Amino acid sequence: MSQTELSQVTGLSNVIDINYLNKTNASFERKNGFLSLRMGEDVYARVYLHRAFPFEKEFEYISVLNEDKKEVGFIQSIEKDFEASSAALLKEELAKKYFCPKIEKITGMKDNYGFMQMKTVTDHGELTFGIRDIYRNILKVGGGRIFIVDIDGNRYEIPSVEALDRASYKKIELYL
Amino acid sequence: MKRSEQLIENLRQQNVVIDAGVLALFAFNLHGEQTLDYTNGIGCVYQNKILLYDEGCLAKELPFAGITEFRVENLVGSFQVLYDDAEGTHYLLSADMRCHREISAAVSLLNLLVREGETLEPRELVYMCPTCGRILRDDTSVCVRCADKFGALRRLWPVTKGQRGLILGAVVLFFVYTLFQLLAPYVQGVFVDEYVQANTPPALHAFVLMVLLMVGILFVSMFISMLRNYLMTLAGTAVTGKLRALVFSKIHALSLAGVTKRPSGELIGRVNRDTRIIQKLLTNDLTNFIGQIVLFIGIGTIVFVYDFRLALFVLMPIPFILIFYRYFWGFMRRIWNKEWTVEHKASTILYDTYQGIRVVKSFGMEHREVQRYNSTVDDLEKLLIKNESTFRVIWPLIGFVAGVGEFFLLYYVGNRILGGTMTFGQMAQFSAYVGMLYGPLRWMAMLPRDLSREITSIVRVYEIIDEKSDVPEAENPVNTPIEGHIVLEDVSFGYNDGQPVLRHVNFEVKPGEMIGIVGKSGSGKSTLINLIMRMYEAESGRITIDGIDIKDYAQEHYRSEMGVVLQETFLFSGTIYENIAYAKSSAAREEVIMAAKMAGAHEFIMNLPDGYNTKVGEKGHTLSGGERQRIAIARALLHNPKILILDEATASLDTETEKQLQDALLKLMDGRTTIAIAHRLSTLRNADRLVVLDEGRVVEVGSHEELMRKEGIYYGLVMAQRSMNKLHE
Repeated sequence: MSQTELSQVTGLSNVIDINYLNKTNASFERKNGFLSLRMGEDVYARVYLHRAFPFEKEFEYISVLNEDKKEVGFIQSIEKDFEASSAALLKEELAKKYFCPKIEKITGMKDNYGFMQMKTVTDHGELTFGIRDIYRNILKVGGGRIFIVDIDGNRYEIPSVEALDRASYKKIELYL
Repeated sequence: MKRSEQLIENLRQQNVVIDAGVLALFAFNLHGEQTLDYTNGIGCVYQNKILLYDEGCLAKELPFAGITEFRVENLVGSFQVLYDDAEGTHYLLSADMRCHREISAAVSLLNLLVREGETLEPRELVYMCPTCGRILRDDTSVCVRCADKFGALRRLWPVTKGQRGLILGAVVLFFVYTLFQLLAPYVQGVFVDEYVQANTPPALHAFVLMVLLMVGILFVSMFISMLRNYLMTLAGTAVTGKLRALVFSKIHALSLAGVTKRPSGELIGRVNRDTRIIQKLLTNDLTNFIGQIVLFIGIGTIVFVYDFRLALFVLMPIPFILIFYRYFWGFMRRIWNKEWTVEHKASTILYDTYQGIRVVKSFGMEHREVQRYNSTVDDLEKLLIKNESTFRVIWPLIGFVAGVGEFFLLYYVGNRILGGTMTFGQMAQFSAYVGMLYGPLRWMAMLPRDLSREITSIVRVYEIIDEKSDVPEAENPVNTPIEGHIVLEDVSFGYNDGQPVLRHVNFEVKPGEMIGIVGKSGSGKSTLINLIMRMYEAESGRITIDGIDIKDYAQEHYRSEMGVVLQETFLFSGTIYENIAYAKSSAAREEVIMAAKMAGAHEFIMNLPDGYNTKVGEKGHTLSGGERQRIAIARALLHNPKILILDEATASLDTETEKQLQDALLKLMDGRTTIAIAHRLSTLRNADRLVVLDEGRVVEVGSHEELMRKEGIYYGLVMAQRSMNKLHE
């Protein structure tokens, strides 16, 4: 949705201004290992990306924060609003910030007295982790997508439960 | 094995021999500055440098010269360690949350080295579970993975002290009951053969005697069973009561951090639900276990001695039945689970809309909420019909399968009776025994499921009981009266995420002085007073009161010398009188009224129809914010503390009410050492000195006038608030 359309819908843009970033007013680059941003005259040696809808929109609605964690700009869509090279850089930064192995296969799930031991094969290799308070730490976010938070605070994603092989599905089905 | 030894061994296997003088080792498991991937990395901290090994290769050697600070930066699902020097910020390493505890400890150590340049001894950063070698989490001293089931059961033993006689009695009674149960079919068999089917009609009195005997057996076994249940209830409730008391007192012995890191519902669950489940284990399953096994072995022996071929016939289907049961319960658990989830959803909607009824009504969303509820109830209904009917169909099927053995039996027995090798009485005996055999079997098929749930509860309850308090009581606690001379010496503190909250805080509060603590939100104000109250333990540095480290005071005594008024006052369910007298239950009524008067609460209390007997709290009269604060002040006045802590005591009140409260507060502060936090700076105008915090550091100290002249941070805060107030006017 463009800004003019937005204002027609909500009437809020008269009150508050969101600084939308795109290839015309912002350029990102990696300096000293960190993501930096140039917006016209302003240069930010280090900026942070933060997803507004981490469970729904991977590359849309991204807040750009400065080192004091204040928002300096907002990206509506990385893919639509930036050149391929900048988009790749931003995606890389997001992948690092939101480290979340994708589960491809569940090879074991064992309930050990309130502590669930889960053996999986992920896109980062075989991983075994423990979950406590299963019903709170297996998050269903809609569309068959599932996030699992383990006992240490690591996250794992199952992009689509239905797409899992039958044996894996049967193991996790009980907890959905 | 210590953690450091484990890591050194790990390095040795990668053919890395580390230099002497290593202070601490830690593991990190991700690499890549741009994209992350798992690796096997180990860091070695030395007095003047840090070495990082990645898959057995030296990846980085970083001398400390020029480095000002190391810090942990938390990402989502991972974190990285960065360091600052004159040129700016640099990346050091990445790891996922598994390594967080160890690396946070390493970062604290690194900062001690680079900032203070202290010479330190080698140390362990974390502790390992002696069984599985995994790092122990900070919130448990038992390894969740290694919680062993029989160990858990064993731990119940000490709690049964005092009830063991009862439990033993119940077991013996169950044993006797079982014997009687075995006796009944035998007498029945004899009755059929000798009396009903007898060739010569028996004497009437013998016949009556036989009937009486059977009634007697029934009656006695019923009586024994009743007695047993009674004994078990006595023992079970006593043990559960003891466990509950143990958990409850433990929760109170933990530090604030220990309690607040768990949702309150979970703690309540552990006190109530888990102990109830343990009670079931003690009263039912444990004694049943012995009884059912005795019964099974008893019948089995009888049946085999009687006719082993017959016995084989009967026992043949048993393994199949067991397997069937297992699958059946797995299946039922699945469908019941679904049912439970939907039920939970429906009750959540109910609870939500009830709690938020004002919002629902003011946005005119009643219709949508009704629809939402209806559709969930519909789902539930469908699921219930499906589950119920499945159960009703499958359950008789199971009965049939379990009974198949009996049909074989009938065929075999029938043949023998026709052939004249068995009497009707023997048949009656035999089929009664076989019927009884299935009882213990069914029970044993259910046992693993029940036992697993019960052991889970034991583990959960003992997890609390075993937890180490992070504010332990001193060995020889001091109980001397407190004057109120507070000194903070180089106090640093961070919660467990590796982010420092307070850094090298130094200041002194003289007896009777009032200190205001000022700073932006997140600057560490509340943490500071939590440390002074010893809700948490300072990481380094020390806090003394009247020259004695607060760690050395007896905690109860220490807190009894301290009065607190928080932003939101919690009123316990009870009367206003009880709430004011909370910290001094021995107070005379006159004292309570006096305290209320001083706090300016007496007037409004006397305007309530029930006066001091007015019920407040969860189910009582609702008081306004100002009224609640007055009660809190009265509570603190009555308590008569030497040190007073006001944490945003008037922040939730409007300025008018705040002004009214100021008088009451002044009376409260009179002659006491006071530390007050307030966002609204005008609240602190009576403070003798102000301490300004910024990012965990004390940046300014002085009176209002001094700080205003200085035109520093405090000046900025005051000016910002003044311009805000002008806006309001």
